[in-house]
Amino acid sequence: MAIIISKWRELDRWFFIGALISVLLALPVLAILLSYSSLSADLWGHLVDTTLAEYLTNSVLLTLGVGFGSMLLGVTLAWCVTQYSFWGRGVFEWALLLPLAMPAYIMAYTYTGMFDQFGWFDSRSLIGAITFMSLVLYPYVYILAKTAFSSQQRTYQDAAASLGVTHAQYFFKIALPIARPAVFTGMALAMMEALADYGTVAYFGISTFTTGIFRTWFGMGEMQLASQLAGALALFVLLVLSLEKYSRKNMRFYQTQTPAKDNTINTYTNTEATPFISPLLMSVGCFSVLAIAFIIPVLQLCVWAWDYIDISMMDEYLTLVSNSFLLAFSTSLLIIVLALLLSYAQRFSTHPHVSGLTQFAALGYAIPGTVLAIGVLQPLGWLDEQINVVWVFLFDEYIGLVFSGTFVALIFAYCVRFLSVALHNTQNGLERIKPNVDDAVLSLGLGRYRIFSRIHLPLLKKSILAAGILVFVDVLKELPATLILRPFNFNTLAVKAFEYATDERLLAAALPSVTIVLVGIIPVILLTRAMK
Amino acid sequence: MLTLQNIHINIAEKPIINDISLTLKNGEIGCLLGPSGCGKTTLLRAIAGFMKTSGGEIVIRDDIVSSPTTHVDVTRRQVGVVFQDFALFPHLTVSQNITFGLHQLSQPEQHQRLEELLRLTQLTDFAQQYPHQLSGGQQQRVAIARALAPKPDLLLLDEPFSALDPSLRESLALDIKALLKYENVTALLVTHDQTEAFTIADKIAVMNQGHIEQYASAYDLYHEPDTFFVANFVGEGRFIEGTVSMTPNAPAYLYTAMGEFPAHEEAVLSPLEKQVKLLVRPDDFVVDEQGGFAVNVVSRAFRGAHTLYTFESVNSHEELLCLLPSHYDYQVGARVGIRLELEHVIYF
Repeated sequence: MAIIISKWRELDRWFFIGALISVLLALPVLAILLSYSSLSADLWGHLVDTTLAEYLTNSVLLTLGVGFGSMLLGVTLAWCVTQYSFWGRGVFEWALLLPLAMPAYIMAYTYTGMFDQFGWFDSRSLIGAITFMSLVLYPYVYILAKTAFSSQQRTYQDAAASLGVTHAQYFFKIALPIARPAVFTGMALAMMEALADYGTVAYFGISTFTTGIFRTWFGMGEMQLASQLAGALALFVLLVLSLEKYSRKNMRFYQTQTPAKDNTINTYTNTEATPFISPLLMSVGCFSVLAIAFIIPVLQLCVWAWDYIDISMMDEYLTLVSNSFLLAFSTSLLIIVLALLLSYAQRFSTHPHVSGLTQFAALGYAIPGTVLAIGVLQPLGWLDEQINVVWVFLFDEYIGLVFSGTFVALIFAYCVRFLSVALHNTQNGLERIKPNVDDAVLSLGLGRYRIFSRIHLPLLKKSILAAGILVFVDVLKELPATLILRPFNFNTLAVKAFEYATDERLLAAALPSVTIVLVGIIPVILLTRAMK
Repeated sequence: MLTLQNIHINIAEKPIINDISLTLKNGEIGCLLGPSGCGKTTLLRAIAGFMKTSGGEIVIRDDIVSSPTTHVDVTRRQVGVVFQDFALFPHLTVSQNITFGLHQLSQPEQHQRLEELLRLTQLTDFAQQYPHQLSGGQQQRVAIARALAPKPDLLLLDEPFSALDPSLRESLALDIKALLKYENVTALLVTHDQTEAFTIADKIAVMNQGHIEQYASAYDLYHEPDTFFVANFVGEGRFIEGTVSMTPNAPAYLYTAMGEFPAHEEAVLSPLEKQVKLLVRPDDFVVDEQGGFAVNVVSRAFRGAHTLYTFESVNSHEELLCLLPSHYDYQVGARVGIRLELEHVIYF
């Protein structure tokens, strides 16, 4: 016994905990991989003959289109906001992040409904999907490009000017190339969201990988084929991710040069760049983007919601709100605990692979909700089957589904997908507490638990809160995984909004939609605060 | 090549540059020397065209580039600028950085100029490297090569050595002086470090609070400063109290606790006396144990060939800095006899 205890002490406990969490979170991906153990030539042959080409072209076009669209919007807006002074700049600087609060599927059916209402034109097309997604996803590029542009040394501009280069040439020759890694990262994030999107393409009836996976699973009942399709989609995401990594590889040094200490900073800010676009046009442009991507759809949703509100449906709405909030809240709590455990594993463990482990656990954010749902269902379904076999053998009765089809499956999927969001915050928070602090506490004779409760927790409070809010809102907005994994007869705001919209009951969809958007503003505000 | 005529610059209504005039002849290297906040960088940026002047004229070659009515844009001034932080474009190689301003030339011409500059700056082996792979001194040479590439008539350098290791500065400054002279470019340098100014510049403008105190060679600034500020700012030294006594039809004399010296004064009609401060440089002393004035050693700093002593005069309690060959080895507290040997009698 004593030997076992001493062995346990020797074992790197933090590494063990970290490894356990990471392996658990990796299960869905492993399940997807395992589905490739047997390929059905018949089914794949059929797929290749019929719809695979369509899935492939549409997904690729959508991804590239959204990448390009969000780059165009994000970079242009970031450049104007960082370089020139024009009317309303101070407000636009943060307000241009607001579209981030708008899920693409809500954007899509709001505008489609408006266009139908006025009988203008039908936006149910690939171009429409690309446009709407770019309008809500450009803030990823915008915020990163904005940081990159404003951290560029002022003297680059002066140096270029003294070599006879105009401001417009400066943008293309110097500013943009230097900001390229940041722009690529933003584009990659937008493209991953586009690949993962289910709501918009399903509403528009566009055949992509995500809708294809749904159709194969629920329409055809071919679970293994659906898994294999999910695997293919995951491969695309991986491709985008590695392209982004690769593009950054050679450019890591770009922002590492620290600007020289400069006591004449006042004289530098004196030079006003002469814009190659008129200031009025910039104000109008920024306002137009903000109006189209946020103000107009939100107002429209409010009008619809107002028209629809009557007492009879408030009951349903309140149930939806409490369901969604409770689910999101409990998931946030669980994810924060996991994120803290992983962050501490990284801090305390001396194992050489521990940081690789946490990075691995954070990869889940890249897996589209549809893929994840299928990856979760397979192992849990298998587990349920085994439990029932044992149960029947022991007690001669079926106990039904224990994991799949219950909250366990749903929350598990959320954990895999949103852990990285929380982990990013807790890791940063913990890194800011220097190890010396821990040593100081220990040297004062206080135990390790006290370090956490008296020192770390108070210092981490903000990071934990931020992590919680981000996860909360992400869970609230999540559509495809919830759609697949939710327990029977359990509805959330996102699910119900989407179902109403698909049934063309836009007035009914408006109230849950506007709730999601308004709650979604909270993390955007957090983000703008962090920028200052 | 460069003429500044009564330049005024205000920033936010506050005068930063106040009535500055200065000329640089073709191929001359000038320097704006002064403490931080004296306006030297502002003046440089106005010459480059980054900011407008409030009054006066800046003439480069024979063209008025800044005046109350004209402001030629920086992109069209054809003035080379070397920045304090070098401002090398981090995503371009050494070659691409150097040829950046040569966009009007044809490919073969660009290549020829590039080869020439790489050879002059000894960067040929680093042509394909990125700025972050170079040492500070190499980065500086790239910055200078980039600014020189379009063959500007005027090169402006803003604190070009401040980002470099102090021990390298002097030798780098000599290299750069040779390079500028080879290219026969007129250059104006801004610095707060007088050693740099002395090493590189033909003429130095000492600036203080937005105006020029004196515009002269390093030798003249050191030995014949025009103002108290210049005497105090340039070189090491101390001031001792003195009285100038002038009588009609006789040479004027300066009386101090360390002896008397001939004073240069206009002839007077009636006897006149005035209180002055005499500049005493550390190299103005010789040891004279018998006939000298007694001083006590307050502190000493060994500098190899020489030792810098701080003395206190026994009868006037004035502090003196004194550089003596290091074989004179006096301990703190010792009493020494010294004598002043002034080549230039400078007092204010």
